[in-house]
Amino acid sequence: MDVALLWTLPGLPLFGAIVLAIAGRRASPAFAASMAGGTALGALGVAIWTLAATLRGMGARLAVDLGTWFAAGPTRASAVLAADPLTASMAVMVAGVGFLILLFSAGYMDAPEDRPGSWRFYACMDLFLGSMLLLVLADDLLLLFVGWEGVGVCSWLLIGYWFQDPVHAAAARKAFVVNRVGDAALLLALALLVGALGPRATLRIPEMQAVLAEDPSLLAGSATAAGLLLLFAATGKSAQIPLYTWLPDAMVGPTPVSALIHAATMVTAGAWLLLRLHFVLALSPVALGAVAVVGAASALWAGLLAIFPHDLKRVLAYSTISQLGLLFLGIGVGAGTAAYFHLLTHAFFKALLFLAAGSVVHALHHQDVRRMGGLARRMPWTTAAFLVGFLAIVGFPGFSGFFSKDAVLFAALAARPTDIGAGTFPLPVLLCMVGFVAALLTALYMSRILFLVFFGRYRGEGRPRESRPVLVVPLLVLSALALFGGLLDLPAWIGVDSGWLTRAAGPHLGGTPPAHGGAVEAALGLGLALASLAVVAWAGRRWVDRQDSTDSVGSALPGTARFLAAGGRVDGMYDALVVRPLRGLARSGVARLEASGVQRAGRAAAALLEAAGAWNGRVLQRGPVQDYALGIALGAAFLLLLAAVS
Amino acid sequence: MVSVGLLPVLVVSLLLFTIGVVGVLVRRNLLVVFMSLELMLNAVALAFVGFARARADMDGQVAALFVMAVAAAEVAVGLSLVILLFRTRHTTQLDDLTMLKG
Amino acid sequence: MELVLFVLFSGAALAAAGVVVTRTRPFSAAMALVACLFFLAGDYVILQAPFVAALQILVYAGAILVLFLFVVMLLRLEGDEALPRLGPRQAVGLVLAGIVGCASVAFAAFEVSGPFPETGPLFGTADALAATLLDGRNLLALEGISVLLTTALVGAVVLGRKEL
Repeated sequence: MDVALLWTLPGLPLFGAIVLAIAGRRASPAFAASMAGGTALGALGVAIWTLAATLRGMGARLAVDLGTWFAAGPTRASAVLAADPLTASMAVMVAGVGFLILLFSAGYMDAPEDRPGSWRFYACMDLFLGSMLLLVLADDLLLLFVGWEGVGVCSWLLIGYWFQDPVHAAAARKAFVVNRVGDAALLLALALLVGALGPRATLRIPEMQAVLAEDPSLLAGSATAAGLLLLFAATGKSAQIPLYTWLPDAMVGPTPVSALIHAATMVTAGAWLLLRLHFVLALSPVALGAVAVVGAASALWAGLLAIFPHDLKRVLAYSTISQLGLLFLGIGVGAGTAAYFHLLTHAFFKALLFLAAGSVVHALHHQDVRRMGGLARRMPWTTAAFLVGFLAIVGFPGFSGFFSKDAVLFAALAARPTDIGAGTFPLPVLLCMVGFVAALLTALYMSRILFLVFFGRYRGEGRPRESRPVLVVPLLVLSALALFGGLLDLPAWIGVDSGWLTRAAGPHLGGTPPAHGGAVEAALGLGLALASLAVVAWAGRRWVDRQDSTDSVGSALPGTARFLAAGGRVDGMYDALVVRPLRGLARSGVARLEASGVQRAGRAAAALLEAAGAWNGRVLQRGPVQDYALGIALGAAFLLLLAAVS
Repeated sequence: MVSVGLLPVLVVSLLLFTIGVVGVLVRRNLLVVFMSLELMLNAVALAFVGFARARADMDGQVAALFVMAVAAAEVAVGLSLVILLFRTRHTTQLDDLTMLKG
Repeated sequence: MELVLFVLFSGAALAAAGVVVTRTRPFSAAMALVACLFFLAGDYVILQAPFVAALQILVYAGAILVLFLFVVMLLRLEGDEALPRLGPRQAVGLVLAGIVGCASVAFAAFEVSGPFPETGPLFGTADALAATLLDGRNLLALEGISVLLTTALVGAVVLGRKEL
């Protein structure tokens, strides 16, 4: 097979999206689902081939150049896709999880009112997969930006899939606008990088890395600014503080969308950007420290917020923010491999958790944990799958989350304060402790929904039944991945063949390979696991078979609990600080401009037009064609004269 | 032997064009106006051929060919319009045709 | 020799053009137009565009003029038009057109003077013309022209029907 095949990776899903968009309502749901699933499966096959090809010569790079997109002076934006073990493995993850979720969708989107429009759903999902693969494989930062915006648009389209409901439309708008804020930062960062590199400017990631490696002083003045802008851009897509508020609202979209876009893939785009541009971050300890602090803060804050919602998917959304926070923490402390490892395992177990939740939602037709309970007996397969996801995210020894979380936390512990711009302040230890607490919070909120949904007595109405195989099979495959995902990068203290991912993708992630900490790392991981189990046991006593889950967890601190249950009132704060001032400014400015300038000018212009029209009608438009011809001739003569004079 | 040079060609082209403009502006018979339009088009084609010769570049002759094709299309549609007009108004005198009065 | 022929042909063409716009009978105008187009074809030959000249005679003097004559006879147009006096509008237009024309010719002469360059033996032949026509640069325009002609054909048929 040829390297040019790389183009089919984003190309196949995009092709499917175009076909479905053209077919429109003519496409039956079965056709739409097979088209989307088939293209995803094809992309998965190509992705696996690509990964195998890159691994054959460990660290080999496949690149396919489709020519120059445009050139401006010395800077060229080229349409180049490139695969190394890092991007290829990410592509395999995206295509694989995408395929499983599309399979799930075929069973999920079967409500009678959804069936006629399902082509729109599958077209958007295909478009999303294509954009995401473009983002992952792009070798050129502008091409990456195309994918970046593409996934943003798909996110907007799919959150607002049921746009007839104003709440859904508002959530989609919010996601779109908040993401735009981050996108603006990304554009500024790119401009800054290109500007700072001056005559050696390039948009190709490897070339930029080479230029910066050769002469880091090129970016001397603006490394911190560039790093912080990249971080800000990443917080938009990856839903970190301060731009995370769109993600919980995004959960109104169809559950497969939440699983694919808002848990497993698109939200990792921000982290992916930072991973790809690690060499820019590495030039500025302050930016690295900011990434770590933002990550740790997001992990802790979202963990706190996740304890209270009654909406099953909202809890999972906050959990996503929290897990991505850990991932950012890993990037910030320079442990790119650990962060990437967590990105992969998180994609597996969070997609699994979302799909299991989707299976529940599909059976019950609502998302309120207060009207669930005891589903373990009624939906055994779904329960088993959710349990695997639960154990993975909580970090039960042996499950994937255990290894990746441990790797991130240990990397934080092992980092040197000076490397993240903290001077002598033991910031890394502090960050590690914050991450530890966030991990315990994970155990707390995940136990809460596990026990409220699957154990105790059923509190809803009707008799929910296990979902059909088309919904269950993807769950089982993802369960296997969530269970065995840890094998990708076993830590050294296990003692068997370890660190596969570190060897394959590590060289493309920069930083020093983490010094495997032996006993310390093992102790950290096992200690975290034990503490988590204690939390789970406590939560089990508290929440199994609670009629009213309105959460007496905060009964000791009712004010704090209400505050957190309201999402920390962050939306209100943003509204007061940003949205309303801007809107007020716009309104008053427009009103003043209207009154003074526009209306008066409008009246004057109208009067002038009226007079001109009357003169035109009376004098000019009398009908003889040759007068018109004379007008044309005079005009042409005038233009000719102008040309001759100039 | 004296070569022609571009200037005479352009002068002839200009004079022809001006005669055409005069015809279009002055004549009242729609058919003659059409013929004058043809004169204008031919003036441009002549200029094109002259430029082609001056630059030793065949592109100008291709443009002249295109002018011819456009003229053919224009005449076909224009003359059917004339016939249509004559059928409904029984005249080809432009003075009588002031429907564009607005 | 070349210049003499060019002046002769051009002078005849211009004279015929003058006849076109001054005859009251459309039939005479059409015949003068034929003459004018023939003389222009002669100019084309002198300008080393023999193929264009041939097409000029075939398409213009042949097809297009036949169309004109056909319409003239179909409508039984006789000399029913007295030449109008030139009104102020026309005068303004003519004077301006003349000024601008002279200015642009002077401008052009300033830019391009001197004799024509030498050309290869193939210049102006049907082969060379076809090669240029089918060149990538002109291909789109060629296709556009073909679409235009088809459209004009359909339009003429539709307009020519008894009831529109």
